[in-house]
Amino acid sequence: MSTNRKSLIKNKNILQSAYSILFLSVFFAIMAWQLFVLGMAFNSTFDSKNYSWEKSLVGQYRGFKYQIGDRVFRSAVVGKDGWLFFTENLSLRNYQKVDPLNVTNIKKLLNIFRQIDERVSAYGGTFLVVVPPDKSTIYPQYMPKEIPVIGTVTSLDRLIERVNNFSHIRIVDLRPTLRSASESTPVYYKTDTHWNCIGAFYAYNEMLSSIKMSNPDLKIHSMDDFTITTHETRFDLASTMGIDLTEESMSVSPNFDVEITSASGIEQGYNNDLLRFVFNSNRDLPELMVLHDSFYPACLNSYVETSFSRTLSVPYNDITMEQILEVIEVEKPDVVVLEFAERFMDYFLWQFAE
Amino acid sequence: MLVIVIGWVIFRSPTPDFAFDYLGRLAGDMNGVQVLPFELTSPLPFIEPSFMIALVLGLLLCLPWGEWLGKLFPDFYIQEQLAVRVIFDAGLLFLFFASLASAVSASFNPGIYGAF
Repeated sequence: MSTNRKSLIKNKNILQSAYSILFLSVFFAIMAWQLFVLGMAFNSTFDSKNYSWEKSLVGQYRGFKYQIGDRVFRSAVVGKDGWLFFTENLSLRNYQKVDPLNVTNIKKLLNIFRQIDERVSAYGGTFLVVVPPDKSTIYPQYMPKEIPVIGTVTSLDRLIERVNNFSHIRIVDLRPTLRSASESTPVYYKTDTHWNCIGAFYAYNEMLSSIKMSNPDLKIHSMDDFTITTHETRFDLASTMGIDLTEESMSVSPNFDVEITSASGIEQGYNNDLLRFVFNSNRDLPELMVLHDSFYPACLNSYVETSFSRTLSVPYNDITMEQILEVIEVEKPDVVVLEFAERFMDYFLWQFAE
Repeated sequence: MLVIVIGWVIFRSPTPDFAFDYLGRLAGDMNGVQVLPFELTSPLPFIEPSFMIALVLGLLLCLPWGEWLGKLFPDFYIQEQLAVRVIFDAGLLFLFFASLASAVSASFNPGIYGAF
């Protein structure tokens, strides 16, 4: 073998050895950086989102899956015509009508309602329960055919039946109104779990129509009294799926002359910053208290706050029953509304059941 | 493969009757089948395109491509060993990060080793 050839082979061997060392060094350096520099190895509260590749690599992977037609993602499923549906919090259990709340638990739920109703009725106020339906309840036609309806009754069906037959609690079933409205106009966002401002208006209309039975002076505004504006945004389901999908978001503002101001619970003397007080310049209107989840600030509040002189609102997952009853006792609002979404019925029950 | 599948069913079954019924289901016996809620069967019954791609790629990559390409391009293989290694390692890295992304973004880890 010539000297040149030997030299060439020797150089190639050195190059290959150097490549092996370099490759392994860079690879394990990246792994070690994730572990030690980002603190994963020693931090029990480490959030995987701190991985440098979590957003870029995993986000791109999820985007690729969506583009090629995958339909099952973490917390969501892609239905027909691009409609996204939430799959957690018992949403699909309600849609498939499996394992609804039994009679014992429905009674416990009614007992929770009764506690609030008794406190409100003591001073002559009105108590109302409002249950926003899941999106899959209003738009079953967009659900994937691979997820069929199995049973015949939902938790909400049982609750409505129990209330109508055995209780005087006032409860608003929004399903017929929203289903009817959905035939002519979208009432829920395609890529969000919540209703849009049009759906929220129908809920506002139904809610106030029920309240008006005991508060005749209540003014219910029409859709023409409001202006809806839109802007592109990425909603909760698209964010949960980690895909870059946007949709037109709506916001509402009144066309009539009204001044709305707000203050926190702390500013009003409470030890709870999540209590929110909203004041209407029209002081002749009744006062409202709303215990709510995420459906209330999804446009519903924009309508409701124009019909009451003062609206006190608080998320129900940040307050105890004792605190609720105490606030009602102190503030004595003319109307108390309890709003929880269909999929949160179990959660609400276990939040407040004794 | 058939022997392995039958063996695994027997291995994992709590009773012989269960194993017999399970094998019957695998053979297509649909008697008494009840539709289960999606939260219990997820991601089934969806057969995702990404799964099909992974299946096809997996089947293709099981073949001895290195040996075949080495026979087709012997000179290149001998002379450009470093280049071949770099291409091979790049491919492995791609598969590593793709499987990592898949595992991190999945909400379901099947099998008894899912806890790992």
